[in-house]
Amino acid sequence: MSGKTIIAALLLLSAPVLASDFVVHVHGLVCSFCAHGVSKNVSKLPFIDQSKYTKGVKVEIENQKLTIAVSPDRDLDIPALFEAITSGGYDPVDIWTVTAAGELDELVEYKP
Amino acid sequence: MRLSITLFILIVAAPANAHQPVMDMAPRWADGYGFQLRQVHFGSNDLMRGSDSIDNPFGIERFVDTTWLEGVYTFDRSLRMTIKVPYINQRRVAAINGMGVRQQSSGIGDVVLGLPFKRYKNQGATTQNWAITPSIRIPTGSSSGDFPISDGSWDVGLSISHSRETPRLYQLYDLYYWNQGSGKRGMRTGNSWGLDINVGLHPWHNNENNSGVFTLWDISARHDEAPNAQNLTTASGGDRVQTGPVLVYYRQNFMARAEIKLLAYERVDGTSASRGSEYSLAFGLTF
Repeated sequence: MSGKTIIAALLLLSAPVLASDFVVHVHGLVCSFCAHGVSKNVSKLPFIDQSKYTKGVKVEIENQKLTIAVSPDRDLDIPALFEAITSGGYDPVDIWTVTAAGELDELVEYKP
Repeated sequence: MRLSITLFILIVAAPANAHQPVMDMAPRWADGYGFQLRQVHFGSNDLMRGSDSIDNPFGIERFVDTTWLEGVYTFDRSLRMTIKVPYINQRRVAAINGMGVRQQSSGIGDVVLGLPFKRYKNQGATTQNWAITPSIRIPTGSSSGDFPISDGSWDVGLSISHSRETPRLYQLYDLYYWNQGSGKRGMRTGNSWGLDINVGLHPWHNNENNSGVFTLWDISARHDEAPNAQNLTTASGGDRVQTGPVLVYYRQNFMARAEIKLLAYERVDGTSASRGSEYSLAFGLTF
């Protein structure tokens, strides 16, 4: 089996998982110690795949991004997600799907 | 004799950090809570008259170690409740009847309760908040003996603070005032106000495990009104400015903070032992 084949197989295997990742832009998310409550609240949501990142959540303070992993067999509940962020002390702005390469893909339409 | 009486009356002001940012950064989440253990040491054997250091024939000195157990509960991001319980171990040499007399006391000090009201503004890569914090100091410390822990008074304080943070910069400004009540045995510490400034960088952060470092610079200015002359605990009034570095390390919900406050300026009313520089080390957990 060639190296290219192995890489292709790995990409195929990982594609469904990556497709269930979402990125939330969060105003003011500049300190992960301060954002511990956001991580805690979000990771407790039933649709979060806790096997990825840190209990399903990754905080990137440089660009105020919150990446979440959603379990493949569960539906993303955006109102619950945004409420978890708000009660964590921050203000969610929008939510995006993520490509296999980890880049922002499509803005998820959401009307509160 | 007059000098002895004067020296007997004075020593440095009791530790009374008036502001209440028990872990100002966190918890900002609803139903969050946290604990912090903070060890503070200050003291000096420099005798001051006004802003000058003078001869100290009686070896006047005072050193104070305080262990603060601090707790915070956040109802939601706009309202917290804080409690600070000090355990004080203090020793001094006081001039009594023309000779230096060594004294020591220790015990639980006055408990401080605070109610920080915060208004946050999160915008893009900036988060900032204004806070107003009424506080009350409960006379739980012993006011007995020649070197009491507390003057036995109920005191009220008010702090107004503003902090602003970006991924790289952190600033905190805290203006506070304590109104001292009348204590037991005629003792009464003077009212005081102060300004604390923390500014600095957030030079390192690891997104993978939520750990990082803050390197800050602290400037603390404080004014104490003269205490009641019968006060056995506190010094003369005066002004002082302390400044120094602060290092904060955090990982997930754990925080450690080391701080050095070097005495940059001091002026005492009359003659008093200098407060000296201050060193503190704190460990906190939030949940």
